[in-house]
Amino acid sequence: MKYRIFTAIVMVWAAAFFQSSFLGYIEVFSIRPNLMIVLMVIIALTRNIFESTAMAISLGLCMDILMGKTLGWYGLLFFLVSIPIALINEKIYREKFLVLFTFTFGATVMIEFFFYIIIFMFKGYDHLPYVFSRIVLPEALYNSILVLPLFKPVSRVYSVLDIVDRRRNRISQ
Amino acid sequence: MRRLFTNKIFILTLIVVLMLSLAAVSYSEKNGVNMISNIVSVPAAPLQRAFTFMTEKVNDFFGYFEDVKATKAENEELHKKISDLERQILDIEKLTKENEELRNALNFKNQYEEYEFIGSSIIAKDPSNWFDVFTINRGSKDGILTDCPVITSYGLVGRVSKTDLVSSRVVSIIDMDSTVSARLSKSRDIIVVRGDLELRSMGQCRADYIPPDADVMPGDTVETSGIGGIYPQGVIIGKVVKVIKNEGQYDSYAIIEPVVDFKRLEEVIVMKKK
Repeated sequence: MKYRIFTAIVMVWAAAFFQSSFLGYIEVFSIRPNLMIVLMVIIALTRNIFESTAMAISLGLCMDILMGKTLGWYGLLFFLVSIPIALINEKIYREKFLVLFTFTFGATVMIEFFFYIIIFMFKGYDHLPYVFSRIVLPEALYNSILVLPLFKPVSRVYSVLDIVDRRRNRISQ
Repeated sequence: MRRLFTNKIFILTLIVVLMLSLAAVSYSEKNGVNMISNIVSVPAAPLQRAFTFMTEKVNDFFGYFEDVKATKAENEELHKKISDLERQILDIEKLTKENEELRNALNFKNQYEEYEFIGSSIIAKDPSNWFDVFTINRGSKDGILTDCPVITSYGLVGRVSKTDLVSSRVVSIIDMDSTVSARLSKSRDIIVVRGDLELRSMGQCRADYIPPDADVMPGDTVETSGIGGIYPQGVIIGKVVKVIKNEGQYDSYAIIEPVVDFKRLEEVIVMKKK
């Protein structure tokens, strides 16, 4: 368990570091991908609901902290979006390109759209077509591409953790 | 009680309520909850600084050969400018002396005298696509306080919105949450400069509440008015690039091109009241 917690902390922290620094250099049309959403989707697709939601909250809160604005909105949205994905992940071919693409695209649209409603629409900002065409959809597309090279390495980390856990359980028996 | 905590619906509701409470408590910029952010910002700051340093070095290396060519052309141009500037310096010296004498006569106080200038580097940019907030490598241990104005040698950048132990978050003037009381340098009309989600991607912001009779034209300089107490008076914000006139009395607005290039911003100065 402690390996799992340590890995989770390293993963969240590394994602936060890359999100606030490196990803700024690969912006396309002033849009940067959201590594935190990508990680959340991969974990929700591969792990059980407890692990998925715990990681979703951590990644979301980390995103809130990095932005330095109101804490909790991304945490809440990541958490809520991770639940349905984690609930159905065993019923889908999660390694298929189309599945990864669709889930990341859908999750990004959901999270960013609701974030826009919470933060901007309540302030009277109503330029929905602009927000969708210039921010939400390009980011969703960018994230859906980024998930493809990241899925295998992240799944591999969890497979290694599973092997370690199994070995430790066998020794303790 | 144990059964309650194993009920999935209860746990779900509890987490949602907790998150909503956290959002409600942290809504104001001046709250204690944001001490949580030290968990991420303190260990991240040295790494972010190292990363910024490395990327700067890589950029410098690749930019070197391009720079040699540009430097030659620039050198010629600068020689011409130097002779012009030398002449201007003589005029300015005369005017400065006059200005000083007049200030002394009227007992005016230099507005920047009460500020301490703290130089700092940007170590991280906003992680999302919504805002224009960045992190600097100075925090509460350096005496940085919330709402300290942030400038460069060109003009206004924004203000400090949050301070952690070793880093601070700065909201730039093109961010949606930024509002600056400003004035048109030429006509002295008071306006409000604020960030706009659409203009942000172009590094611009907008000026609202332009009085119907205001004489505002593209090219006019906009500076801080000093009203509001956050920004000192007379810091250059930018230039008007377009004026959009609407029928309503206060419906007209102008698009402002800030003097600061937010895409290439690396070093800033925090103004702290002594």
